[in-house]
Amino acid sequence: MYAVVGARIHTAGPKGILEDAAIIVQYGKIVDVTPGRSVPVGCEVIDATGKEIVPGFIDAHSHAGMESEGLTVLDANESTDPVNPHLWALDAFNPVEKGLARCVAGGVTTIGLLPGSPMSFGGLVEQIGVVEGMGSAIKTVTKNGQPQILRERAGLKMALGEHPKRFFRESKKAPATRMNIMAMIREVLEKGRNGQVEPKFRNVAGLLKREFPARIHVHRVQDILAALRLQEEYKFDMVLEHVTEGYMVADILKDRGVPCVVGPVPMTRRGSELQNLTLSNAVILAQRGVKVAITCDHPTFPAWYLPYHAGMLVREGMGYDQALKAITIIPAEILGVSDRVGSLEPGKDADFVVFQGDPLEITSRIEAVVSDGRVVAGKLDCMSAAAGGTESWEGRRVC
Amino acid sequence: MLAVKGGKILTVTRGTIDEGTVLIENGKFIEVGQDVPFPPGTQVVDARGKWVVPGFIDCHCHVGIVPEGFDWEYSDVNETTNAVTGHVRAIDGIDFHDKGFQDALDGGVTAMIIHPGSANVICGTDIAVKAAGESIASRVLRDPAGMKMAWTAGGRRGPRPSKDVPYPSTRMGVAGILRQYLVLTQEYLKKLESGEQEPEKDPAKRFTFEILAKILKKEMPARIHSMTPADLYPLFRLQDEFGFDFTVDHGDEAYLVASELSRRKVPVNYGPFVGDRWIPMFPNSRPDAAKIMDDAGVLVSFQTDHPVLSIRDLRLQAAICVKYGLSPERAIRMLTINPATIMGLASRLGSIEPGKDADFSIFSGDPLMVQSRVEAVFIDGKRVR
Repeated sequence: MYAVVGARIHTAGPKGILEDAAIIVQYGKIVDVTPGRSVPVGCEVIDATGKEIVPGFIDAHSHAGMESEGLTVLDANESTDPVNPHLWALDAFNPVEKGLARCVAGGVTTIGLLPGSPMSFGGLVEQIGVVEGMGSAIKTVTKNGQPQILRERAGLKMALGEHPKRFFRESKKAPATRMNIMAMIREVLEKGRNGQVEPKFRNVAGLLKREFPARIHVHRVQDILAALRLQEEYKFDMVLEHVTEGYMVADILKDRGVPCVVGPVPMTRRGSELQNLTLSNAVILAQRGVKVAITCDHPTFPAWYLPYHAGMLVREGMGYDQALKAITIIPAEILGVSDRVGSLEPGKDADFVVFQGDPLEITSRIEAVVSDGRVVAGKLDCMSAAAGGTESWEGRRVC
Repeated sequence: MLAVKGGKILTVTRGTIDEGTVLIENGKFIEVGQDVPFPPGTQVVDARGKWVVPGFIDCHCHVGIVPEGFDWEYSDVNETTNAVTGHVRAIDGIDFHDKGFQDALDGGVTAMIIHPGSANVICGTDIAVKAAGESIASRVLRDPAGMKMAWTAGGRRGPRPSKDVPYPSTRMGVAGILRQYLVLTQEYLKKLESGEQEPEKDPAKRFTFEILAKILKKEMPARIHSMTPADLYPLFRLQDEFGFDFTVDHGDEAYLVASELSRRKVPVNYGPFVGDRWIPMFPNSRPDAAKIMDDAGVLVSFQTDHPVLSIRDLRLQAAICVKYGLSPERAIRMLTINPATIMGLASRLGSIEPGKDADFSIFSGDPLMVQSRVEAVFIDGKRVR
């Protein structure tokens, strides 16, 4: 058992921010988070006076471990067919992919590993599907070469709008229009609700039984509304991804209770679909009461920039606590793993990051990243509980 | 006359002044200091508690030439019809009312070099402009500011050109084309010097030779898209052979030859490095590269390559380098006086000192913090944001 004491702790939970507080850890779990410095007898004490502690960051929409380290390794999209409900992102997961270690070093301890394309880059239309496959919630720290799966079926990924339309049109395949994108998805949903479901459509059956949500890539209002129509017709749970024009229909999204995974925050208006892009999108959605997480869509932006993206939203008017929740507890809820991660509360996994300085500023330093109670990047000077370690971007220890 | 009073002034070239005053008249800074008197009737901007910073400069972007919010087919950035398009000019492809210029102001960026894209070996001329102003004429700082070239051009990466046009497929091929054109330009110059009236009849070729001639005469630099030592060593050889100035644009792994760059006085216009997609192509890239080059005496600036990274976020790259050991003072220079020097306009831009253009921003706090807001931007002494 050990306790890290003296820090300002952002719990992202009901206790809010605790000044000069202690976090007590045993067997990889949080025993308690409490103001003051009193700890149980026999507990090793680590002094973190003047530091800030936040929950391990969570990116609900990530391709880290799938293709971040190479344009030539395109395992995130089975672009030979637009309809792939039977695919699993986990089957493309490479546990020694460097991006994962960099996520760890940057304090991103949990991700939603999704199939599907990162944003198009340099004007090239990248590969994508329409129904793209199953995503899972995993930790970025692997154990014995295996991913640590928090939730195997975290959502069925789909994509609407220009991106699939343009890709398949240029490949001289269907769909070439939004009409056919929707028709194809309806066909897939119908196949999932027949009595005898073919193996390829079993994930669709799970979606219709509301065992997990659909995770639908949309930018424009028209695609947001199309997704809402589809949801009304087939009664499934849904999370929207990117949601670039969401601010225009914020009240509808609020009324329908649709969570949004917005971002990447600093993206530019590349393509007609992003014409109405604004930094205020996530701010407005959150103000109107929509549940908002933000994403780096790694490798579009490296996942370890997640806290700075949250900082940009604070600059644009989002409350600090809200911005921190958008990269911790809210993505945990969206992934269906908030019983394990996302906030610092007794009984949850001991996943947290110790900062010197404001956690949402680039120039602040990460002193330690802790996953399941173990220091996995950096180290606190007197943290004898530390074991292991990992490399940061440039191949050096973080500190 | 305008007085900006009470702010923390980063003059860049004359240190930092707490609670200082800047005086502006006719679009120029006329005085800066701790206690600067000004006549009654002067318009006063209260900057107490704020930071007053020279306008940032991005020496490599595609603002206005890659239109915001349109698909790729509307872009004017790459003339992919030939590996050599030295006759094209960036200014002919720029929409000066594009939203991208507003993005620049949103990030405190007041001047930039806009380049043609990197699809060709010799891409066309680039242009140095201000982000805002009364007319296009008042916004243009230098046209041309240099000739854009690309070492990894033509189907080696980036948009694929037409199959019918011969493009190089190796670095050898790129070097071969460049050498050919430099030799042809030398011959063109010899013919001119010997009094020949029209040494090149084909106007497209003549336009290319005219610009390359300026480069051989060192009247302007070549600005070369190049990343690794494998790109840079051939450029060093060409430089020894033909004698010209060039800037390294991008320079992801340029730090590996920092001492050679320093010896040759070749500046590095570094970035963008926040997108992870760069990393796989450049496994030796590292976030303290700017510091390594700066320590070796290389003139370094930051670039966004907008819209690869938003020009608004130019300053965030500086913050990343500070995280990895660069001092904040040096980082600010890489956003201001260094790019002004690389632009060839250090006498007008890049610092707050008397006589220079009054291009500056007022930040709510330290510009290297993401949570600091740009509260006002001035160009030529006029508020533009």
